[in-house]
Amino acid sequence: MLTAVIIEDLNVATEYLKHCCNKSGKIEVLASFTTIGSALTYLNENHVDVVFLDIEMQEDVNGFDLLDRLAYSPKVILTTSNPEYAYNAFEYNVSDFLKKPYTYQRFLNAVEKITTSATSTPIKEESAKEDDHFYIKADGKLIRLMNDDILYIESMGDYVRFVTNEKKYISHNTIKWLEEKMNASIFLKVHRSFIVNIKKVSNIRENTLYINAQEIPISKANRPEVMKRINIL
Amino acid sequence: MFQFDKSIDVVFMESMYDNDFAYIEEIFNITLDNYDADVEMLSDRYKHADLKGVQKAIHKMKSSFGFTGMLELQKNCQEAETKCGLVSSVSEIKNDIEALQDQIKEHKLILQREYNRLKIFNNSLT
Repeated sequence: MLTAVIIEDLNVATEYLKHCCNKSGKIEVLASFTTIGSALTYLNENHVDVVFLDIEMQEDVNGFDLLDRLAYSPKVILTTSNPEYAYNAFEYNVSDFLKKPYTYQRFLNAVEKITTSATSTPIKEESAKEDDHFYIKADGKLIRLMNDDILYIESMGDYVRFVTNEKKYISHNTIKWLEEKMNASIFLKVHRSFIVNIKKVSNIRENTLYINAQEIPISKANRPEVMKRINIL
Repeated sequence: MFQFDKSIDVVFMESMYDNDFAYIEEIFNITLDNYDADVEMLSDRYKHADLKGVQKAIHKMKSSFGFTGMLELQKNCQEAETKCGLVSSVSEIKNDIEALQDQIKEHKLILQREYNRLKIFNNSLT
């Protein structure tokens, strides 16, 4: 079963959508939100498969702002009563567009699209983990970073800093999300605010490790895993 | 079979809810729960000549009329919402907004009546 959240400021639309999800037996709704801000906080802490997103809310920000600020890319189904957003929907690569009010059959068609594509996603993610590189969103573009070039990654609230020998890149992301997605044979979370490239660690002194001259704390919880992963002869 | 008021599109309701009258009762109830607050929001924004706010309030209400099968009112809301996007001040569409507000208030009475009738109808089945 896929997990989902609903972002919608019309109660009757939220209830109808929950009803459709329950009836289908294919989607579990984990939470619903009436504001973009609350949804964004939740989504950056919790990974879901699908976001049902109303575009035009009573706030000044709209659903596309949420997609711009989201640290990862769940499947998105737009729910709106204005078809004029169809072009943007295409640009944001959303899975489907439900014009309110929509029938249960129309809802099922949308779900069918995401369940078909979702089955192939884990394979893609697995191969991405094994790749020698990955892409991050930074400075308004997608930048390719080689695993071997990364020294460490540091949390900065809703953002992270990827540090290489040459440059630092700031990207909207979380340590928790990166820990799940990055190649675990190379990258290791050593503290709630740090992931390090284990090959770049030059020395460890008690609860601190050093990469070049940079001091990085090791948390008590992560220390056993760190000690297990380094080769002590 | 339950007979809806003529302002509710029966064919549409069947396509949406497949004659699940207990669920339709729930949908009407949720809509009524939020009705006064939405009317108030529209009225308040209109009083403050907040054109963008009026447009957003109408947009929100438009969808709820869709879920309750009041398609004519939904269409009128769509037209008013579109007009809001074409003018630069609320005063330019004063008559349209006031007429729409009257229709919205009238439809609350219809929705309330239909909800009460549905409750009686559903109770008679159990």
